[in-house]
Amino acid sequence: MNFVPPFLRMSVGLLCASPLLGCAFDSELADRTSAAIVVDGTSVVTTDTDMGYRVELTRCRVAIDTLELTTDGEMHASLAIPLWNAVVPTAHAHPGHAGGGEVVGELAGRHVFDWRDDGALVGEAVLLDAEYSGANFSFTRARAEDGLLADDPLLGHTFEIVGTATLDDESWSFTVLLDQDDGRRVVGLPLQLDVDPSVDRDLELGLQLLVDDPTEDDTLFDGVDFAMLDDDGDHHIVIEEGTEAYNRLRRNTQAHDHYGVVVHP
Amino acid sequence: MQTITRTALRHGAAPLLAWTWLTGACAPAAEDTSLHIDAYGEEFVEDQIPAEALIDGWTIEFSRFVVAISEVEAQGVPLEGTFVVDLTSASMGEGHELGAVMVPAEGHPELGFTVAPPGAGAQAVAATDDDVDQLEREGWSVLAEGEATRGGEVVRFSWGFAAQTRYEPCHGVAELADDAPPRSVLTFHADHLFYDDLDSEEPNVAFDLVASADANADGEVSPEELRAVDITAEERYQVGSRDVTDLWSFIEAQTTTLGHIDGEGHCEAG
Repeated sequence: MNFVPPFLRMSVGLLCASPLLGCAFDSELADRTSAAIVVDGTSVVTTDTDMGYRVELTRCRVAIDTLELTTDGEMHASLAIPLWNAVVPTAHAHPGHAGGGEVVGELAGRHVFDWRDDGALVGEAVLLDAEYSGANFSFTRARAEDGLLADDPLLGHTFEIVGTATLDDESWSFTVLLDQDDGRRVVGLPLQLDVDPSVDRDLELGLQLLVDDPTEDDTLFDGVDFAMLDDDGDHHIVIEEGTEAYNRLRRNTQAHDHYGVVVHP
Repeated sequence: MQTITRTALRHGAAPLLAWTWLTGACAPAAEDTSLHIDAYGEEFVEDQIPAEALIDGWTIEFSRFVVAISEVEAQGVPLEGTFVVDLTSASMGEGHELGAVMVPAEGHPELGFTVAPPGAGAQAVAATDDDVDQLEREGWSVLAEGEATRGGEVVRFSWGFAAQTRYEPCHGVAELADDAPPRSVLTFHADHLFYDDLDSEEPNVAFDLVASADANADGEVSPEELRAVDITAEERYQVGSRDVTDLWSFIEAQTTTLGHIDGEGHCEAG
């Protein structure tokens, strides 16, 4: 065939411009943006628990692995399919597995930080242009390669939580080294962010620990009777693994209600 | 083909692409094949969950494991009907056939199915009319009935669940072009009812906490007795972000994870 009618040439040209057919005439990679992920300690507040204790934290260190930022809505990418693997080959893509949406942004790697260290840089995340609606992360256990000293109490654990609990005029200091299963995910942190290629700005996101759950009106330390844990009456408590208090804290720290990601102006 | 190539060089790529587009559109469609769809509970349901599979030494044997399955489809082709299947019925390892649909004989099938309380007109498959009536009357999608034994201990249970779950997509492994005939097996993992974690990728299968719920010591654990078991201080029985605080709600949450495809294949559940 030597002759192709003009309408066919035009039709095929239009079809090949459509990304749905996978033709490569006019493809472009999605724009990506970096965002600083910092500790937002503003929600590590003194709180009153369901058992009447006023709890104040002086230390709340945690070891996490990979913060995923997700969308369940619009992407601004020029192609219709997620581009995560194409844009950032080393990232973990979990399309359909995120449970709270499709992963289109990520702070990869292991991170150990103190939620009392407001403003501390956790890392730089890579974000595709999209409307973000959530975030997920995984717990891990701190290792020497996370930059910890050999005598750091957090080594081998997920959380180091230190604080005081006061009931009436009596106070107890407490410490707990809390372990979550390595890789246990916290899914569905709320996040509202529109990364738009038309807006040129430096992005900073704050990763929060919400001692007070704003939706359920409960606290991270509900169900913990600190006085009952003071076996020797010295007002110093170590919350031991295997105890009810430990199990309640471990359960409470798994709930996404106690975490958030906020956009800093 | 040489003529087309010279033409493409004179007029650019568009004519060549038009030709390939046209010839592609006119290529003969793959022949259809009859995909048979079965439901199967595996040996854990047809025989028992042996003590070796549980961390606390109980053996679990089901006398009935009845599931209501509807909205079955493969490659977008529906298998009409609602099926009430007692998966304890012996199937010689084959599962129980629900029916067959005609699909193009190419690639692997992608399926979907729903587990939900049956309405009127549900069809008994390896089940009795009483099974169908009971699920419809009680508004149950799953009925698990049986007993656990350990040494001389025997604990009975009869639990009906009303959960509604859509499993889709399920990526079948059948070779639609080569298998004769191709089969897809909706597989139900009953041991999930006895997992001790809602999120762990390697949960244990356990019965001790269930057995301990028999508050009136009558040898049977009821849903009411399970509701009375607070799991919030348990070392195991973790629930992630779910608002699940009692053992019945925990087991009920697990009913949404029963459905699989072709043995160990996973489906997206919602």
